[in-house]
Order: sequence, then structure tokens, then C-alpha cells
Amino acid sequence: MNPWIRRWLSRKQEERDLSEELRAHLAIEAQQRIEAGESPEQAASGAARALGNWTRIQEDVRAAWGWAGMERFFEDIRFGLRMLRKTPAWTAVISLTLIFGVGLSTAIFSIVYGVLLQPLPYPDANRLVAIWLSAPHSAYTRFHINAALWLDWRTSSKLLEDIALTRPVANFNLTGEGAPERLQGAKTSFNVPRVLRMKPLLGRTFTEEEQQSDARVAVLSYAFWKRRFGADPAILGRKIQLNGELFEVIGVMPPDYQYPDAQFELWTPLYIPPDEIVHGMNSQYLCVARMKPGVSVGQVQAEFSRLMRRLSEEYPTAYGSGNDRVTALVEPLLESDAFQVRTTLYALLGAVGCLLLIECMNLAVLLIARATARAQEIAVRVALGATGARLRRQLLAEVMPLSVAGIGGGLLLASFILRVLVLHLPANTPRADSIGLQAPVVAFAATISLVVVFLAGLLPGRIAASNRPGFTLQQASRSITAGGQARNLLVIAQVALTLVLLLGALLFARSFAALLQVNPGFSKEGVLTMHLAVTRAKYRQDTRVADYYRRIVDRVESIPGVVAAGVVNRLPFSGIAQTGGIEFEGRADHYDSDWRSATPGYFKAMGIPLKQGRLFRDSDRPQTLAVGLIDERMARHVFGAESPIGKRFRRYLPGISPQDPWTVIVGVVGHILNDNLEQDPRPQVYWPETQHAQDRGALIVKTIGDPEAYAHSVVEQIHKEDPDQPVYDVRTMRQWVDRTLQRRTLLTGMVALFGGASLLLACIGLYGVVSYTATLRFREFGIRMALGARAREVYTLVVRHAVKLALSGCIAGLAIAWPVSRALQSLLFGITGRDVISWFLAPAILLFVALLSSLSPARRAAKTDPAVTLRVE
Amino acid sequence: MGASQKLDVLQGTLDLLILRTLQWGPQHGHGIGQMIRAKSEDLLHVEHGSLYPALHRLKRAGWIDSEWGTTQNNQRAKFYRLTAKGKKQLLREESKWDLFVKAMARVSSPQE
Repeated sequence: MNPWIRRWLSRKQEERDLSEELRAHLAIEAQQRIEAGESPEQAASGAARALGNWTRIQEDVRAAWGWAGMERFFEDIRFGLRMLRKTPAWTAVISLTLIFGVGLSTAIFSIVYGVLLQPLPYPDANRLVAIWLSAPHSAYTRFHINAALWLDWRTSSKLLEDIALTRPVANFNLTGEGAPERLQGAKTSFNVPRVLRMKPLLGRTFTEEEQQSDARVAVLSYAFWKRRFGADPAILGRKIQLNGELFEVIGVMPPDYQYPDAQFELWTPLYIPPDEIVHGMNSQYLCVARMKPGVSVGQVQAEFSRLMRRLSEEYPTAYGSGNDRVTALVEPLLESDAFQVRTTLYALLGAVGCLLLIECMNLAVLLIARATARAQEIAVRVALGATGARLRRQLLAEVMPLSVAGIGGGLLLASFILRVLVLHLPANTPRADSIGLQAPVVAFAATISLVVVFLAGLLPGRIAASNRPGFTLQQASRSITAGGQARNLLVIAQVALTLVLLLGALLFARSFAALLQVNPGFSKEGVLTMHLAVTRAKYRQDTRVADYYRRIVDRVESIPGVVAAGVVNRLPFSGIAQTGGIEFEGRADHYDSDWRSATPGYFKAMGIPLKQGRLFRDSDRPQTLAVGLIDERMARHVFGAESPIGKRFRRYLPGISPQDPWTVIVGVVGHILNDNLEQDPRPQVYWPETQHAQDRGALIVKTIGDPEAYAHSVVEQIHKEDPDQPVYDVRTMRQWVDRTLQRRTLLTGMVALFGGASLLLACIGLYGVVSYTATLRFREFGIRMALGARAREVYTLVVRHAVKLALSGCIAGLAIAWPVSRALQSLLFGITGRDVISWFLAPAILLFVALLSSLSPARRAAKTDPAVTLRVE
Repeated sequence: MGASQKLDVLQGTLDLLILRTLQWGPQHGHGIGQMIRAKSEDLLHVEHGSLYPALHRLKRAGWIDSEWGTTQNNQRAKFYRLTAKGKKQLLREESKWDLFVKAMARVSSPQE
């Protein structure tokens, strides 16, 4: 056993031993005195006198044992607990403040930890990088790579061990046993598990030969295997029907294998047809690579910048030149999938940190007030010989029990907050399911709780220790002004930080309001949407796909209450797009656009207006004239005032000679936002589904009344047409739009909450200091009034104190807020960080609230009766 | 005996005095105090208030050890004795002390 622990356990024994030793000493001394001729009584008292202060000796011996510090600390804590029990209201207020702060910041930290900090579950995950293509001077800073690049990079890179390719958008309609289901799957290169260093739980993963021969084999995710097959160990070798074809299950991956993310349920070999291996074509692949040991991300980035420079010189049509040049972006895999939420989460963490700091200062103000109220007691302690260090230790030990409340209550509150907050995380937040109170999160809560209490307890201790006991003991409480300056400074700092939070909240709220004003170009209300992917094995020819869609649309339109229905290949705001170049007959330029295939009813169902010409008709058939629509934005951009009707366009595919026939523009429709309300990256062009069929479709249904009420009957109609048709992602258009706003909703809501909370705290702090100072000055007010000052003037005196504090805080706050508002720029929409209204409103609100909180102490001071006040002292 | 002739034990020298006293054999606290007084011909007077804390400190340091025994007068007492570690410490303290004494002598008699 550790000798310290043994000694600690045996310290009762040691105490007895010491008493006995001292008694023995007395006995020996007495004996000697008796022998010298003293009477026994004289001898006993003489011996005791010679020994001196028994208790003092015991204490000094104990100090020699080394327990003194610890025992005294526990004593102080016991004393502190007694004090806390004696003032339950005060204790409750302080504990609640602490729990609130610790709970909120722990909740935010656990999200940041789960999403951004927690290492990926793969071995040596810090050597994994994601590689994107990037056009730094455009809106496209991260986009997918093409197959030709993969092959080139795999042979050229010297710093990477291996590079793996994944096509994340792959639909698998699972039919056969059980209900038809659309699975989220991915087609991957054979080496993804090898790059991630993951072995299958059961069976094997597919080989390079299987990838090249497009073998019908599938590897299942653990979650899917459990959900659909009840974790059946005999799954290997079983054939499942995907998109109408039989695939053999050859492996099951362990639960940690979640690439590209947790939603993926199965992986099949990625067959790359030889004619797709063209630079610039089909940029649709995710790329993950493993760096060789000892290589840094920066080195790989440099290597890939070189590689891309060479490739853009070789293939200028594919990768551009000059400012438009496409380059590669290399980043750690952990950062890569969270890039969309990273700034938001760090902004939240910063805001909650601000709140915590304010709280810490608020706590300090309360503790200073308490220490001041105890000035008499403390002065007695000092007079009896307590040193400054001892006093500081004592005051600290007294408040430390509060931190236990902070940890316990904070964790409890955090788990509640998380339950709500996780549901409102942005739709694209990775690893959201792994957010929870993990060990580092608990450690975080404990640390901040201890640190906050420690910091808050430090200042009152110092102030108390600097009190001169003689002064305090002589004078009545009116002279206790120690800590006044510190309190003022703390309140000013609180006001300053509150201003920063308020400004942040205002900027976000104004951005949000600006966003809600944005018109997406389609109607959000009364529109039901759902996705269906066509099983091509069943509907092989394009015409059959188009006919299938048309039959579904006809059935849906027959439902009473349905105004219109249509199908489009990619639904706006659903997070996916199909984009590509367009060229016009007789013009050299090509234009980036959303490629859309739609049925005639789509435009009416979605509320996209026709601006010129006509929409698609049922009479547009494969054998009739190839027709198309372009949107207003494209029309204006390309043709200006000239009418585009009758002009011809076709897809522009870089690097290969055009094979598409020209399409005649028969109409111009309204432009819509495709991705979200914040960005407007591209115009749209449309082909009729009958002439340009696509196997993934979104069905859009315009209804009278609540669109959700129609979901059941619409799905029923689809299943009447084909009982094996899986339908997925059934949502109203309003829900899709709200989903893209989630990041902002979260940010605005949380920062507003933090801003409000800090306003309340700063208000309490200000009120406390102003009213306390006013109380101290009652005697002065009494004298002033006795000398002829009017109540009005005393009133002003108190209010002026509050306004002075708030003003100083505001000025300091504005200075801090300036760089902060610049850093927040990327999170704002429609306004800049220097938004005049926000910069005016934030200090105005603060000053107003400060004024309000000073009114009641001012009124009390003005009611001072000089006769009473002066007599009391 | 005048007050001027009674010396307070210098801080830090008490350890040396205790260790040196225990050189002659095990002794209890009361005895140690008396021996120091006797050896210094009543010049050094050790306060009990500092003797016992010092004894316990030395014991914790491992330089002395203790056990209960009986005195010649058949009284129970806790006897302290020097440990091997304590003997080494005594040598160190003594040479340090000698150095200190020499230094003091040099400083206080500059005419040498």
C-alpha cells in the first residue's frame, strides 16, 4: 500500500499515540519535581506549565505530519457547507447560475467534440485525407473528382499510400422478400476498406477484379444487416435483389465503418466504363486517401497543387487556365465532412464561452458582496493571526462545494439540452449520432465548473485579505468600501462581453430576417414531394421510364384535392443537384447550369411561372421535335433583350466531341434557387422526361390544404401502378426549405438565448453593484439632503453611477466587437458585419436595460430621510 | 541565571542537537530536552513546544525511529533512536555546522 494512504488511515492511532507521549512527558517531569521536593499538586501544575500550550504542540506536530493543510482544507469545506446551508436563497441563486452556465457550455462542447474533435474510428485516422477539386475564384471551393484524375493520381502521387474512389449517389431499390425499400448505397473502388484500414466483420470485401468486371456482389453495413436481416450470420452467399438484379452478399462491415457517412447501408463495386475515363467528365466521385507515415497534409497539398498545374496545362478545356484554373484541395478527412458546420459550431462555442465568462464575473461580484458582508468576521480572523494566504485558502475552500453542484447539475442539464439540440442540428452534420456525454465531455464540465468557481473565488479572497482589521473592527459597516473598484470593473467587463453577444445575436437575427425575405422562385406552401428511383431492370428503355412517370402522374392527379403533379430529376433544396455545361448554337461560350428533366405538370405543381413561349406538352414525344426550356436568368444572360424562342442548345461535355442533338427552346420559365436561400449558383435548363429520361425522379404534388394529409393516398396510387416501387424522403416543400435553414435557426436561436441570458446576468450584476453602492452612500446622501440637496439630485446621482458603468462597458464592448464582427462575416447573410442597425441597437438595448435596473435603487436612495440615516450610524 | 545568558535555540540547529543527543543512545522526549540543557551547561533551553514537532518531523524524514519503553523509574515513555539514515544525516549536519561556525568566526573577528 502507498505509505501516504497507510499513514492517512492510521492517523487516529497517531493522534492517540501523541497524547500518550505528552502525558508520559508530564508524568516524568512531575516525578522529577516530586523527587526535588515539591508536593504532588505543585509538581503536576508545574509540569503542565513547563510543557506549555498542549493544543499548540499537538497542532505543530500535526503540521509536521503533513496533514494539516489537507485537514484544514476539509474543515474549511465543512464550514463552507454550513454557510451555504445557512443562506439557502443565496446558495440556490449561485448554484443555478453555475448549473445554467456549465450545462449550456457542456452541451455545446459535446456537440463540438462529437462532430469536430472526436477522432474517426479508423486506425491511424490522422493519416486519412479527403481530396477535392476546387476552383478557388468561384463559388465552387469543393467539388467531386472524375475517374481520369483518380487513375492519374494513383500513379503520380509519391506521398500517398493509396487513393480510393466512391460514388456516393447510388440508388438501390431492394425488392423481393419483405417491403420494397430504397437503400442509400455507394459504389466504391475495391480499396476503400484498405485505405481506411478496416476489415469486414463477416466475409470479405470485393477485389479489384470484381470491380473491373462489374461483379454483382454487395457488402452490407452493420446497421442495415441488423435492421433488415436480424443480424443473420448465414447472410453470406445470400442473393438479394437490387434494382431488379441479383447481388451476392459477400461481407458485412463492422459498426464503426461509416464511409462516406452513417447513412450508407451497402457498398457495391464501382465499375468505371472505359469511355468515362476522360479528363473533365463526370466529376461525381468522393476521394479518400491515406498518407504515407510521416507525411503532412501540407506536403500532400503541395504535391497535388503541382499535379493539377501539370494536368491543367495538358487539359486546359477540362481544368481551365488562368484565374479559372481548377486545383486540388487536400484536407484531413475529419475536417472535410464537417466543413459546412464547422464555422457555425465554433461560433456557438465562442458565444457560450462568452456567456460563461460573464457568469464567472457575476459569481465573483456575488462572492465579493458576501465577503464584504462578512468583513467583521474576517477582520476578527485577521486580528487573531490568520495570514492572507490562509484567508484566501479559506474563502476558496468555502465556495468549492458549489462547483460540485455545477458539475452534477451541469451534466444533467447538458443531457436535457442535448436531447433537444441534436434534433435541430443542421441536416448535413456528420456523426450527429455520436454526440453525447462522453468522458472528455464530463472532464470538460468538471474542469470549467472548478475553474469558474476558483476564478470567481480568487478575487474576493484577495480583497478580504487586504482588509485592515483594525480599521474594519473600529468602524461600522459604512466604511467597508474594499472591493468597490473591483466590483465596478467586473460589472464593466460583464457589460462589455454582453454587448458582444448581443451584437452577435442581432447580426444573426438580421441575417435570418433577410433570408426569410428571399423568394426561391417556387412556392413553398401546399407542395408535397417524394422521391422514387425507377428500377431500370424493369423499365429498360427510356420511353418506358417516361411512360411510367406519366402513368403515376395521371393517377396522382386523379386524387381529389390534387391541383397538379409532375416529376423532375432533382428536387430543389434536397441537397443534390445535377449540373453541367450548356452550349448554344452559334455561340462559342458555354454556361454552367442545372440540368433538369421534367414532366409537363412539374412547373404548375412547383409554382414556377412561364415567362415566354410554352411549357412541355404530352405531345412532346421521343420522335417529335427535340424541345427544351431555359430559365429567365439564362435567357437574359445569353440573349439579353433578344427572344430566345427558337434558338437551339445542347449539353456541353468538356473533352469529348458533342453527341447530343440540338434542342429547340420553346419557352422561358422563372428562375429558381436550387441549393438553398443563401446561394444562387446556376440557371436552369429543362428537357422533357420523354426525350431525356432519368431514372431518379422526385414527384411534386400541389394540393389544396395541408399537403402532408395527401402523402398516404399518393403513395397508395404509386403502389397501385407498381407495388414494388420504393418511395423515400416524403416531405413537404416547406420542410425541405426549413431543413436548409437549420444551420441558421440553430445559430440564431442559440446566440439569441446566450445574448438574452447574458443581458439578464449583466443586469443583475449592475443592479447589485449600483444598489449596494447606493446603500453604502446612504450616510452621504443624508448629509447632502441635510445640506439642502433635493431628492431629485440624489436620484440622479445613483442613476449616473449606473449609466457610467454601462457606458464604459459599452465602449469596451464595441472595441472587442469590431474584430469579432469581421470574423463572423462568413456566417452573415444580406448584411455586413458593420450593419448600422445592429451596431446602434446593441448598445441602445444595453443602456436602456442598465437604466431600468438602476431606477429602483435610485428611488430608494431618493427616499432617504436624512434624520433617520444619520441617526442610525 | 540572567536572561542574557540563556540562548534560544537557533532555528535549524535543533535538528542537529536532537540527532547528536541521540548518538549516545535511545532517549525519550523529556530526556532529550534535559540532556541538551545539561550538556550546554544550562545555556541552551529547548522549548517543549518546538521539541515535539521537531521529533515528529525527524521521524517522518526517517532519521530517527521510536518505540514505547520504560524509564529507570519504571515510567512508560516513547524512546527515540537514531537510524542508519539519521547517522549519515548527522555527519552532514555536523560538517555544515562546522563550516558555519568557521565562517561566523571569520566574519566576527576580522583582525585575524
